[in-house]
Amino acid sequence: MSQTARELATNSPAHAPIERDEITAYVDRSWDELFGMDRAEVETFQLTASRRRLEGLAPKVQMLKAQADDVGIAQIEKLDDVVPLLFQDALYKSYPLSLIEKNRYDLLTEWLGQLTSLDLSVIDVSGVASIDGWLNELEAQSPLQIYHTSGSSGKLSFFPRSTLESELWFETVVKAYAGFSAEPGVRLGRGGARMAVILPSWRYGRAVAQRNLRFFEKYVAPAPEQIYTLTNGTISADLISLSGRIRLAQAKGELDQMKLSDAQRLALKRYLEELDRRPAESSAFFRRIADELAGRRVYLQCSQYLMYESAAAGLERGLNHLFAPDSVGASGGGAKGRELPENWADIVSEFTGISHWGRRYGMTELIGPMVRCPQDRYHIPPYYIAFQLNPETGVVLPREGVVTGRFAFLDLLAQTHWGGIISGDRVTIEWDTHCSCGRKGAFLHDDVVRYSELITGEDKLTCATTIDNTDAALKLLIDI
Amino acid sequence: MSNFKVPLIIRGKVIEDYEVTHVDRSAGGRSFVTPNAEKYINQIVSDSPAILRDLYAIRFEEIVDFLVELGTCLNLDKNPYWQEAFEASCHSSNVSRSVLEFVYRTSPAMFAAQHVREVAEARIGIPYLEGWVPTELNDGRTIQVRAVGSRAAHVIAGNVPAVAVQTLLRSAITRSDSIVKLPSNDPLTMVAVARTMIDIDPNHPLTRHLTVAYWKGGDGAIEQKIYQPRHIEKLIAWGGLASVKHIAKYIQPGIDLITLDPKSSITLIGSEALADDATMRAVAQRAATDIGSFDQEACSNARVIYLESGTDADGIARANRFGQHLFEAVQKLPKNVSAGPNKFNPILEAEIQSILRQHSFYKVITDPERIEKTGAVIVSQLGEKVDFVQLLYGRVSNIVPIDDMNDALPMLNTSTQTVGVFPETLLAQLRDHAALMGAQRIVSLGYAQRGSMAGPHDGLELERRMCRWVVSLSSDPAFVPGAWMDDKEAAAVRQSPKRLLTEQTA
Repeated sequence: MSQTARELATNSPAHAPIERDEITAYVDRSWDELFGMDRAEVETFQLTASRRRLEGLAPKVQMLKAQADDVGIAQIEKLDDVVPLLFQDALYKSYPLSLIEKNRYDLLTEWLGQLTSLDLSVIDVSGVASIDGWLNELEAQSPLQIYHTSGSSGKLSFFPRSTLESELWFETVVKAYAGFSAEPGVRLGRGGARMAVILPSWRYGRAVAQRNLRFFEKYVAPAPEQIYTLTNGTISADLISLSGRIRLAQAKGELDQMKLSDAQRLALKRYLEELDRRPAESSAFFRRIADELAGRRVYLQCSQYLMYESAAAGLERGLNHLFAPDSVGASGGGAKGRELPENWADIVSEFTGISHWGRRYGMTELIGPMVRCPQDRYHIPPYYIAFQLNPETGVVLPREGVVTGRFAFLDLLAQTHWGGIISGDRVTIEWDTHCSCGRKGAFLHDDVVRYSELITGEDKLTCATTIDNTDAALKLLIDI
Repeated sequence: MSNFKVPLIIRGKVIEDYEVTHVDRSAGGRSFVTPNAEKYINQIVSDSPAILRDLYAIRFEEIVDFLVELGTCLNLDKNPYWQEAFEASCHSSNVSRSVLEFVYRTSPAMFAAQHVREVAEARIGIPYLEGWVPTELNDGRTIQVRAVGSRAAHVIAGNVPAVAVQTLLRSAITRSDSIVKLPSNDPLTMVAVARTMIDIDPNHPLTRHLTVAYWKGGDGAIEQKIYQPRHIEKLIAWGGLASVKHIAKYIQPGIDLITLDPKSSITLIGSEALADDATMRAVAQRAATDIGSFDQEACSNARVIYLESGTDADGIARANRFGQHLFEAVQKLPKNVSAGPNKFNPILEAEIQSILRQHSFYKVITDPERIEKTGAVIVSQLGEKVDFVQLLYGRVSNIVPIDDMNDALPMLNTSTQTVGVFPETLLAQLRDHAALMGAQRIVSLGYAQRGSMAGPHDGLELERRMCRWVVSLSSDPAFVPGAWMDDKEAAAVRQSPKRLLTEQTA
């Protein structure tokens, strides 16, 4: 199969589908059911489920077994026993960068194999000379679906999910639009409403939005041409990695020693070509949307910052109240250090004509978004076991009252890999409050911020070498 | 110590109308109050170098006398300002209390008479500070050169309290007027020095030429007024890009910018260190000192160690054994040298935790439950630096096994400050290359923190740069032909027998 064909075929593996177990089947339950469970009921489910996850995954996920052995936890007696088993999110980028630089995808595959229950020992990566090529091989030869993210360090993290988790992710994304109690909802996805899909971003790739887009193509858009993206290009992991490498080389003071591999040079060349096409593609994007979708019902998903930028640009071109008011919109993703004006939501509504915007909180580390309720709270579905840790000591905080701490969780929807992760986010959770929206259970305040944004150390002078941002063009890629 | 006070000190006057609160987010939201420096801007700046005149009414020895008195008064047991600065540092600095106490007790020794004279003589030459030093030229003329003080602004670093002491020492011996902008992570050390000077003698020229202020770096309203050629001739900025970013827009003819960038340091250990167990331990103890001193907060601390162990299986095993000795040695350092940082970077901790079990890539030697107390030694099994090398603090080091010392040489560059080496033969062997490649100090292993102000700082002759070097050159037309003379006249001057009686010929 050619490279391109493989890229297009992500999510269409030549492998038998992986069956959902009783835990992941919870994603099929309605919100009324899920948010109607009492705390005791939720915790019973979570305790049982976490035990099952540990028993099922420890024998097959070496990293989990090693950690469980080290901390001396063979089984879970109480929910807090999960905490010492949680992985640092940095674990998913704990490979030496030099493996990529030296094309040691054999060692990289071994490393990845420790993080998934799928057997990667039979995968042949000989001849692979790029990250994109590596990921293509993994997905061609197994049910693996890798999600990559670069985070703030610039080094790529690789999350070894499978075709099952990809499906589940799509389910949770459309589930976010389902109604609860008296709140109306829209049924999207299999058998649900069909409408054009707009994603002002790349069309293909292995980031969350692009992976979900494959399902949107199949189950939401009336036809494949009814997917509108800013560019028809594919996110290249090699390019993201290159940009990160540049930043790291600068930080280490080694920029002058950097050599690009052929794959990186090629990726950079393709990117610069795409960059050249970008203004034309951008205009074409807006034109197409204005021509073909004005007044129509659409599904529009975008990060807050990009949504604001697009809306401002669109308004400048004289476009406003573009879509039918029953269109579906969702935005999420923090501003990542950039400032949004206070009235950004109004600007977005004016441009799109969509007054109700679903607000989401999520991350690549967690399958599926959390939905904000009418009281501006993010309610935690029972299939995420949430914890908060002291940001400095890592000690688990009590799950009662109102607590602020580092967000950590066991994502029960992760069936083929261990869903236990410590994130970099500071969250405030109210564990016992009854929310007037009617949803039972703990919820997050809408004030999530990354701890790394808090430690800026203004006006401090230390020895740490400063990291400069180099190529603004490359940076643009990361921002999408 | 939740809300402490940082006064504004202007040339002998202490100003305490505290109007502005500054929050130090990285110190857990701790805050301090200061006066509004903008209100006093006209007193902070000076209009002419003429203000330096009173510094020239005193002799160098009187400067020494005052500094000696200052050093005596900076006594941690008796001086309340010094005590307050110490306590504040314990909260804002990442360095442990026992190490900081040692710093506050020993850094005033920089003001000892012998040391002050040694620095002045070695770095500048006391005669240049005191008068005009003649040098006879090849053409027989004599030039006379003097090193004159300037009006300077200093943006000082806060990670090492001794920087405040060094800054005052340099300012005093060069007879400069100094406006010192305080860093938020050490707002009181310089204040303590200034207040002590006022207590000794508020009218002493040295006291009258020190201004100490805190304002938020980048505050254009204040900086725009101070960083002007009519107010300062020199701007000494520590901190590299972070501080220079704010300052860059003020650089113009008339202001000499001296930047002291953050640095990194490396350690090179030859195969001789691995000869036997006893040698390994001894070398490890020395390397541990370079890592752990000052709780690894200084530019001169070791973080990456290139070890000539070989990179085959045996070599890596040797490197791992050395790493174990190194880790143990760090734990054994005296408490006034190293006791572990106050706060450990949680991002670094997460990185270490994430590679803890990546045995094919890294051997991590630490106590996983107490990384923040013990630090860690990470031995790269694949012979490359860890990807998070820029985060190495808190007594965390990375041993990179190499086959040959030459493999490490490309790692030296212009941001390398200190190169610690073992064995001693490497010192002479490598220093030319290291110097060429940009390194600033090549030292024996274990002595990275034992510097001396008698030598250049970070590759610069800081004290000389802080002076203005002025030439006096007298020429008598009777003896020195002038450009306006025609050949006949010039020849006559040259042939005049009277010339033989003077020193001037041309």
